[in-house]
Amino acid sequence: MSAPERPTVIKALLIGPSSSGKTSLLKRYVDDVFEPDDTTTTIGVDFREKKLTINKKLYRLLLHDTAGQERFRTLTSSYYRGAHGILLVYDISNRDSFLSMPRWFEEAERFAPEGVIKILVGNKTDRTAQRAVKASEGEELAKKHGAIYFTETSAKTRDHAKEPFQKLVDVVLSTPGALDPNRVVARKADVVDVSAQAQTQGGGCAC
Amino acid sequence: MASHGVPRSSTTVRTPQAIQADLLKIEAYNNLVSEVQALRFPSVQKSKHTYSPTSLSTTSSLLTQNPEFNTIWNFRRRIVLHLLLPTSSSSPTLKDDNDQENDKLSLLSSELNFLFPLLQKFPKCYWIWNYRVFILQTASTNLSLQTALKLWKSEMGLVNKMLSRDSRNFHGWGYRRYIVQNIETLQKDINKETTKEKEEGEGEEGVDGEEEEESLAEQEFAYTTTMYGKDLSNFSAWHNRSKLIPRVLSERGATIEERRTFLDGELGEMQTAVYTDPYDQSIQLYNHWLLLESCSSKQTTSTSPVFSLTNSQKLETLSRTLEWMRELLDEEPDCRLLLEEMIFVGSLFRDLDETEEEEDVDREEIKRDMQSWLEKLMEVDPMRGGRWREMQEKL
Amino acid sequence: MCWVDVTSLLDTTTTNTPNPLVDPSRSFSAMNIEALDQTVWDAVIAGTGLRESLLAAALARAGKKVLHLDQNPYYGEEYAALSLDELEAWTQNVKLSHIRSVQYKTYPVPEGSGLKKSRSYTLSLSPGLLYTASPILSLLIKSNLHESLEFLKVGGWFVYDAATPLSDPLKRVPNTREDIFNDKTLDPRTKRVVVRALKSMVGSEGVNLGTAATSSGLSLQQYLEQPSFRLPSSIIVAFTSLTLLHNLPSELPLGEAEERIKKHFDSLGRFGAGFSAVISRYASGSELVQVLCRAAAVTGNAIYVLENGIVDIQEPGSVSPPIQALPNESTEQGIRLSLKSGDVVRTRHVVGTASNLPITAPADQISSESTGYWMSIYVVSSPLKQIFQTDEPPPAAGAIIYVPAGSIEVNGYSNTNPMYVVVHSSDTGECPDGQSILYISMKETSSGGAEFFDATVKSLLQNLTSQESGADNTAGHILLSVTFKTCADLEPPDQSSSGRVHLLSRHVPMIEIPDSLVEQTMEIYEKIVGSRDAFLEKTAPQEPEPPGEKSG
Repeated sequence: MSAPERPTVIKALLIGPSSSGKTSLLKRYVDDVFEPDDTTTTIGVDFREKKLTINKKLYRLLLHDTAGQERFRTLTSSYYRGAHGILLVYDISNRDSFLSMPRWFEEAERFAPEGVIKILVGNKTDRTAQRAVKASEGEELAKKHGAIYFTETSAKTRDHAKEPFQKLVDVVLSTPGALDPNRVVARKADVVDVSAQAQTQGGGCAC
Repeated sequence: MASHGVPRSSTTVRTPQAIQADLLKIEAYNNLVSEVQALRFPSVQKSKHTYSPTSLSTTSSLLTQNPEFNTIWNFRRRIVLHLLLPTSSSSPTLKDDNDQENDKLSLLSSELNFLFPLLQKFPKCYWIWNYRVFILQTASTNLSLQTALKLWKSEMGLVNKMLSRDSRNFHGWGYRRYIVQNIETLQKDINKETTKEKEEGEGEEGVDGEEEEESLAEQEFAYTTTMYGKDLSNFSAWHNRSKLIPRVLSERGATIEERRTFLDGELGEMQTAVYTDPYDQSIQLYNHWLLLESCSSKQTTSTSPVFSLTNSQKLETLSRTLEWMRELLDEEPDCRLLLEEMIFVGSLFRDLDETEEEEDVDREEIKRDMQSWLEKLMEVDPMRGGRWREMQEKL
Repeated sequence: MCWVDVTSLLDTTTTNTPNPLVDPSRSFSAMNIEALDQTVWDAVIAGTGLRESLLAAALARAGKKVLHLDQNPYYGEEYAALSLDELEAWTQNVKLSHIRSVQYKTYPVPEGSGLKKSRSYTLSLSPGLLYTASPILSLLIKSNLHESLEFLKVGGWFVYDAATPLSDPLKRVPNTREDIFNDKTLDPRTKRVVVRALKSMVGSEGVNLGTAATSSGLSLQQYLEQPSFRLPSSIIVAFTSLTLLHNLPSELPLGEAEERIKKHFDSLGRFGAGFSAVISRYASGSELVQVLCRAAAVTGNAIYVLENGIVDIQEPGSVSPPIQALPNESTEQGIRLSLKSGDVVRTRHVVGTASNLPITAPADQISSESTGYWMSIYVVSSPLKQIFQTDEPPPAAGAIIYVPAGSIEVNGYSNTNPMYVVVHSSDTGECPDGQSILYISMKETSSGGAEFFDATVKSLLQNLTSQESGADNTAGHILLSVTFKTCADLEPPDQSSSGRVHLLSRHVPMIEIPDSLVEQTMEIYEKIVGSRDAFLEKTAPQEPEPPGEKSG
């Protein structure tokens, strides 16, 4: 009987302009509910977690949202640390939203680890009447910036909502070296453990 | 030590979700217990016995949650013993000796691996340790000598890790001695076997059948050096060292001269240690033992003497010691431990017969010094004033 | 020596070549004006230095609405971490008021061993050491923010002795009795007195130093040279190196030295044996700032805006309202702030250093009491493995080398003052594998200072890498250096508040991140919130366990 297995951690980020519905998409995937209000759903938590069992192996998918710091393009570089995958999300009914994506790709290029898996997502397909971006444009942009996948979704109607997340995990797991132990997220053995259990008083105890 | 300086988990008010989660856990646990008990006491209808790998894994789940459930450990023992029997092999075809050996090894190794995280979580649970020892002993009796030896040697690795995390763990050192003992015994048996094979002309062509070193005393001795080098207050290291010295010297086949040299080396090291910290009891105790063992007028160990110094050599050693202790006393006039040791050295000196060469040392001077040291002790350690007074009178 | 206040030099000079630090897409549209103007903020904080970020996170967690600005296009201010290009741009346009005489220098190197691409460097201006006993660490742990950070061990603490060519030039500073016991160069009597001196400074054996000694005006050297100790100078130097103070041992005030040494010993063993300090991966201070800012944002109560700042402050009425514990919202007008972006916002409190607020603060004038320091960042082409060796895991990613006065010679002169060289390995993520970063600091003297740095680094590389077996088996080279002069006060000038405008004192990062930052931050926090209770505590309820999902 082997020791309980420690799940492998996969760190994924969502980036993109405000009101692209990133947070709703996240909420849909993790809680399977729809909340249109962009700002309240990830209040107070650094990330949302989904436990996955794939081919009998355990994984913890940690999903980070921008916490509003994308509003004035003030995401910290530390946000990108150790990310295995990034979902870049725009709103298909808002042309400006789509036009800002090259800048988001550049930022990801700048700060995220090399070889990070990028997926482009055009959200809010439920707003069919107000569509301002063609799917083909999204497809093209994705290719141009090295995103391995493009899809359109609706957090509201559930249309393909889980797909980008599932695809991200699939690709991360199937790309050799993507979960490389040399990557910083996995290099925990080098780190000083400062958690409460590790603390002792200075010096030795006499007992 | 887990208890020192670590904030204990506070008894916070639990949320309803937490309480609910706990109730679920309790229910799951109780179900698990029932399951295991059913395995132990199969009803009449069940004709199959329950000493199977499945029941092993069921007890694993239970024991992981509650390692104090001793009866289940006993159940597990029976399962393991049963699984080790040759007839318990599920395949009808006869496995050759090698395969059987590997199966047994894999079972016992996996048992040890199963225990490891439990030990990390519950380091003081006796049941887990007892079971671990049971597995190791079972290995000795069920596996080939070489294979068993491998297991015991890797157990040494575990002890090294434990002691590097908590070098003064008394139990850890005791366990270490136990492992060393077993390794030595196994190695001896292996060597006997090899010799026998050589004599009987067995053994493969070209294989030398070298005898491996049986005694770990030298290695263990070096280990104590490393350990006190890391922490001078490591009483267990000093203690172990004192136990090993007689063996080490006899294994080296040390002559009296060589023993003398060794002793001088140890005493020199102790001088440095005592100077570094005369307030440390462990250091003083070891030094005390060294002097007692080497310079006492009576024989202290039941077996052969370790150092065999002549009377005048003893006197010389003691007066040398007193000399550096006196100098140290100048630096640390109020050091209780030092004063006590100096009185001890003085009394050892006085116990020895006078010799003709005794010019430099005035016994009267030592007596006077001891008086003044005792005076000082009464000042510094008034709680035991009665004892010091008594000693003064006896001088 | 009194320098001109440089707050007027804060405007970015426009150049033709695009500045890699400025993001042209970050211009403000009408949409944003509406956003910032909507509420009366509880606090507007100008500058994302460490105190400011700690304050933002604490206020946000306490439910306060915070608008957090920074003039720069990056976070961190004096703790910012920059790529090579960004660092070069920074040297041409320095905005920090305490920095002078900046020099960016590259060095000729053999083919293939030079600088790697700009983004593979994350360089800060200071080493960002954190003692394990630091209240900053315990605060981060208590508030669960330590999980977003990776702390690395600062392992060896050495005194450099270049004069003994045959033996090891790095002499480990003794931390424990065992270190002294094992030191073959000390005779038994010396070992006794060293251990005694050590214990007396740590307060665990015999008599404490006591206030009489510490206020006597004695220097550390004088104290340790006393008949009762008579410590050899090598030991005195070793103890001096533990203080992280740049004075000569003979000029090191005893009280302060003792406090620092005590801090060092108090920190030993807290997270593992044999080390007293840690650094956070990715340029220590910068990472702390970013984690704190994100923590603030995650509460939903803080908004972040870079490349923006306060250009005007107008307090309501002619008389400042008295400081109340809880502002009365219905009558509150708040302070009116004009921002560089053209936005006008209202807030109950304003916080910042003098360089980020449009006020003249006498406290920020660099006084004649200020001490000048030369500081430098060197990138070298060697992993300096020897320095980072440890007996126990985890491996060390930081090390400290103390270079005593008189050790290094340049043009016939030797260094009047000692130098500290703090080394970061590539494990910190601050430079590519195979390279290392050296942070050097030294008190300024009339005979200069920075010219010793090159010589020191060359000497270190010579003596430490000659034993390394590499493909080319040559000593490492200097690849880059950035040198500058700073002005630091031994005692930070007082913070002050006038009404609701809270002025933070100037902070000059030296080697370690000082404990005082916490106190300074809490002081202002208390003025805004009314008490210090639950400072930085996580208030959001725990998320329930997410449902598992099986697939494949």
